[in-house]
Amino acid sequence: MKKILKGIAASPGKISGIVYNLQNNDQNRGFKKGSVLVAEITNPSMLLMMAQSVAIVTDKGGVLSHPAIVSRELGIPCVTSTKKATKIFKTGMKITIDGDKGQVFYGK
Amino acid sequence: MENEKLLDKFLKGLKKGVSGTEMDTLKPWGPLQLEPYFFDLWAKELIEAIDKIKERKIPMSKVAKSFPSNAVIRDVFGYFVVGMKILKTNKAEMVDRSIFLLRVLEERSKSSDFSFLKENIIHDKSKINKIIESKKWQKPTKYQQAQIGILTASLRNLMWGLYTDIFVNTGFEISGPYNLERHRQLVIRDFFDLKPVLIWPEVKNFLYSNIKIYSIYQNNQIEIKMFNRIFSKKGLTNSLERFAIEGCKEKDLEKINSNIISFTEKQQNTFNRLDFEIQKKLYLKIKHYALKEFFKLADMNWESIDDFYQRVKGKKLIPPGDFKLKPSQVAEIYVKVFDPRNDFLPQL
Repeated sequence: MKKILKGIAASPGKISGIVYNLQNNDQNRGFKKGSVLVAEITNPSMLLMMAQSVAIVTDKGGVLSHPAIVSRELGIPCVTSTKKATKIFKTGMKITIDGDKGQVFYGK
Repeated sequence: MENEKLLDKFLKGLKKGVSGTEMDTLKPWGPLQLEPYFFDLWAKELIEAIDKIKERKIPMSKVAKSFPSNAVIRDVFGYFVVGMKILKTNKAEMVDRSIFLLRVLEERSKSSDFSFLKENIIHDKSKINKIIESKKWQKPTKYQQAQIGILTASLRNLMWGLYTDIFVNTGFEISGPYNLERHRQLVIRDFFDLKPVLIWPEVKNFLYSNIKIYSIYQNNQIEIKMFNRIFSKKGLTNSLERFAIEGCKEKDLEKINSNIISFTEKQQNTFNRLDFEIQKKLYLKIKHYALKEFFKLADMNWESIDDFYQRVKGKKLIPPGDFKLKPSQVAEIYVKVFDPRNDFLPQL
């Protein structure tokens, strides 16, 4: 697998899934349960979507940020502070998230 | 513990606690966007309260109970030291008053390291034994493990909506981990103020006043750091071995979660729709609400925010660009700024 991004390891676990990019999304494709949520940063009004995601990747935020805290409670992997996840990952792409090492890869 | 060591230990914990903070991700605004307008006023108020409490010889146990959580004391500490530096308080007085807050923290903590580094221990062993014996523990199914994760996340989320990011610790405390037999750890999440009607009168009809979640995790390594932040070696939901909930009449976890999530959304929208001047007033009210019982002990009116508002009335938020710190710099700077033994303040 090719490592694409390195960020902050914000919540442990490793999983693959299909991207749902909140910032750079094709409006015809709605969020599907079990997606990997990719966002610039998350906020409290996004909880329902976060709870239905299998992992979260954000451009901003440290280990104390909203996506990090919520992901740890939800028990799903999270990588924050990747700087450019929303620019690289399009909705529908398959990626793998390593929340222990803070890395994101293309494919499964 | 002697004063110097206590301060060093606190600052070491603080450094770990704030490492990696990205200032511009805090909502609705970061701590340096409004607070600098009234750092000095806040310090004056706290100095007055501490001096009155000392004068009245109020027992430390009573003072400790007046704070809603350990994390609030830790939150208050930093702003207080900065304010005293701006007021050019002499160093001996700065140290003395800072130590007062740390002694309160010491009083509330039931562990040898005063809960600065990897834990937040507020119950002693006999209390934990009673909790273990008295609760109706449930062994969770996979589905319940996930629902408990959503419950803890959604309640945490609601705290942001009620108290903003800066004062989020006003309404809850995460304590533990309390080590049990067979590699198990108990964590208690106590959301004790879900209906702060003095700030938000409209929340009076919310279904829950307080919710306590007792979670026992197995074969995980859990740490609770400085500001109610929980960390674990492995995912929390999968390692949840037993749980008990207090404060909800319903048994259906999905229903409880749905109630909390929709209420949080409503609350978040309410705040976002308010006029900016009203938002600032509310922010100031929340800031004082966190210490309302402490101010009451000093016979001070916690609701008096007029002086503070006059400082921010018509003012814009200070742009984050004016004090942009890299996450790697934040901890180093904080530790220097929050040390009352020096007069260092960064040039913003």
